[in-house]
Amino acid sequence: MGLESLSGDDLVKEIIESEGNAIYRLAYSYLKNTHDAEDVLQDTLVQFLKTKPEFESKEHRKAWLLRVASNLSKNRLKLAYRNFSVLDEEIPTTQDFTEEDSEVLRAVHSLPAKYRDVIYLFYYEGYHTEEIAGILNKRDATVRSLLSRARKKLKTTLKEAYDFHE
Amino acid sequence: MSNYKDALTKIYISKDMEERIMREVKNNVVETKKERTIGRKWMLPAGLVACAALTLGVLVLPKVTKDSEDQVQIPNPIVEIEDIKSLKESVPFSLKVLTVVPEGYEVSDTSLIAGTLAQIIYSNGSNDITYRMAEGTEDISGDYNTYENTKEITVNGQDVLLKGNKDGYQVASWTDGTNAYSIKSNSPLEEEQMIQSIEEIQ
Repeated sequence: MGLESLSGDDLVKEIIESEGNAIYRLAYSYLKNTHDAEDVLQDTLVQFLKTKPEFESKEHRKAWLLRVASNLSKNRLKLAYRNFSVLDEEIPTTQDFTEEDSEVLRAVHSLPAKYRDVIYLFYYEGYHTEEIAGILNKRDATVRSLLSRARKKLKTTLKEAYDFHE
Repeated sequence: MSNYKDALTKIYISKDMEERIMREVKNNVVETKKERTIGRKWMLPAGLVACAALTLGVLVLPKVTKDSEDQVQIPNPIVEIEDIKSLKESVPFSLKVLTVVPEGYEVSDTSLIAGTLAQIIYSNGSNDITYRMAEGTEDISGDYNTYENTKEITVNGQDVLLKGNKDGYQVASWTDGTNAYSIKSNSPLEEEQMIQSIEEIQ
């Protein structure tokens, strides 16, 4: 891939600039707050440096990073569940964040985690269902079924504000 | 752009966050390298000490042997096994392990006791939870303390005996008719925590 000569620091910086937001947003989709999402991003990068995997392409690297972030996020959810604790939900309140933004994020956050990751990867990252299946280690049919059910739930919650294309 | 995409685009890594992450990632990786290096640094002096001990042992061996002729060597019944995968290969039964433990606990020790009892210790740095499994139906917890409370519950169709005091339970023991199981915690656990751990054994 031509990045082998980069030092550890440079490599981490390069990944943050290239795929950092994708990892961060995926983790946020699972964990619903930026603090835990940042931890997952950090842990994903540490995992990358410790494992030093080889990739055929940048797309391959991104898929690997997203899969690691997905697994780390699910571990956090599992631990919180087993510990009878609830992760803090955080919808940003910065100036550029509108009421419509909050409404749609709340609606997606109200879905179980198994729907939130496929919604993110399909509607935000633009992956096809076969690619999502590869990242999340699921069958393609499962991903399509999850998307379909997620859309039904979101239609009910968002009503006129619903704009997730089929 | 859809509302969803619009909203999520406003969640991104800030400059501060990037600097923080770079710092933390570097610290994390440097700490791991340090642990590995400390291990290696000690190997050389340890090696010299071992040589000295061996030499000393050889010099005094005839006297020791003569005095301890009647002593019987008892082999250590606890054999440390590298990891859970190797432990599964070492036991004469299909080993099941805890897949759910309270937050903060990690596997700290895996052992085979007397060739027939599998033991896995999970630790959070200040408390240990010891899980055991063996063939048979006897109590294998190794815990003979007296507790204020005992309670029989049913988990996955099996009768489980819980023992503890007013602040929680420290021992759970049960059998499925073929194998015996136990969980022992140095600090009390809630009944729900015990149940969840037992339910998710695989």
